Amino acid sequence: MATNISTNDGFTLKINPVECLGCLACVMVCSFHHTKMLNPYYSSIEILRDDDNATIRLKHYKVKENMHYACDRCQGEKRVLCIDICPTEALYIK
Amino acid sequence: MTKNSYAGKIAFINLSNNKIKFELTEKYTRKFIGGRGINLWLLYNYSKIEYHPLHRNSPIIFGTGPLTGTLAPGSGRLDIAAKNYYTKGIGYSNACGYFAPELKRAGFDHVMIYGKAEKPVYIKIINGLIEIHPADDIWGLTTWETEKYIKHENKDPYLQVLSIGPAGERLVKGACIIINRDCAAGHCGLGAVMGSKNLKAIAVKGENPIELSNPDKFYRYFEEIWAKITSKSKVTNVIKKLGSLMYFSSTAEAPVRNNQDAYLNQFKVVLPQKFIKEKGFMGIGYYMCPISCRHYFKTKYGILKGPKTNGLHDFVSRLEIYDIDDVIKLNALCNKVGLDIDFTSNVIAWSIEAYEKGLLTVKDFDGLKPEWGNSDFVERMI
Repeated sequence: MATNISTNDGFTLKINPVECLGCLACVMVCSFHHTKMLNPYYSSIEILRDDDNATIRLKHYKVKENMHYACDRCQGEKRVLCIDICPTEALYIK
Repeated sequence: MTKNSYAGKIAFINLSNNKIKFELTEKYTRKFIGGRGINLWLLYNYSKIEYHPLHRNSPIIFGTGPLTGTLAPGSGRLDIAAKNYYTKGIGYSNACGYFAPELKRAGFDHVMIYGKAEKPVYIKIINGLIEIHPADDIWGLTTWETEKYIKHENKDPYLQVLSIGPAGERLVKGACIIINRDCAAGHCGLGAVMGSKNLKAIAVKGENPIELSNPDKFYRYFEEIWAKITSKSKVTNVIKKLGSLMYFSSTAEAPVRNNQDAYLNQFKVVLPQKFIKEKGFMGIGYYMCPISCRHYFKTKYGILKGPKTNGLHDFVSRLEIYDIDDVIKLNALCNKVGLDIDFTSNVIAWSIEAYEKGLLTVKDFDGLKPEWGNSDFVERMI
């Protein structure tokens, strides 16, 4: 299930796990950007919360995997939607 | 058929004979928008006035609305309706979490459950497929263990689980339904209604997209509203930081010692701003909700999810427990066993006052000594 990050072209999405609330707004706008429909399984990002350890993990799909669309760096949009939409500014580019 | 954001189907599950039938949501949307409206209409039509809330044929209905699972802020709520265990009238409650959008993506706007299973069962709904599984192994487990067990057994961490704890199984009046460990549909004894059907849990997963009839227009409205909610004004900053806990800090008005007093003298000891800064380290929001009502706290009992405002009212003011670690622990304990914290604290506060007034004796408490602010006593009572 590991994401293939060998195609890394300098655009890596990172998360500040302490800031993230887990509202999934980024995940949903991403799926909307790709398909005009709403489904987290279409999104290029995935937020996973682990309640046992109180941690949040981000998975960034740079290549298509299962139903997840590959991240196209929001082509056609004015901004990078997931970063723009985040209420706590937890997402950033590295 | 035009595209819209309804999943399109309603499932009726009869646990007595394991038969399932389906109806189109369209049949009802002419009269009601969805959510609680259709829930109560179904309750009205399928329940009878002579049914006790725990009657085997009395239905319990889980419903989502047309906005659920879309980009609308706060659209992750699940509405649950059944006959009210307290009053025998109508009962409904709602809870946040990730369950409702998942249910809708699984293909159902509403799921109605009636009948009674002979043995404990749990229902699994995956992409429109409904299965009823035995739950003998998880009967008696807490809500947290149930969620873990079901995810582990099905080898699917993406399952969203709704469950009842031992309180619901034993038909306690204040039993609630728990989603994602701490989202509770607490009112009306809905947990007991589920328990009376021998239904331990519902697990859902849905991979179908939710469509919109006019995506571009919807997105424009969403951007506008979302920008307002997440703007950096003074008010929104406080709301984002404290969530619903801000209501506790704004006044010292609180039901103190079973409503014997209305002003909490020592409210500064438990100021949310203070203890969130000291012990909280991460806000928690649920589906499309930018407000962190709860936080994770580092307590002396480990990392736990904290309470909302009513948690503070219930344990801090009503029972006068000023140690915030204890409050967080008691809140988590109630979530584990599936008890409504309002109900629990009210009953315990009432019993302490009754003891003070001489109506109850130590014998009634199995030798425990009831007193205000004693968290061990409260824990034993729970």
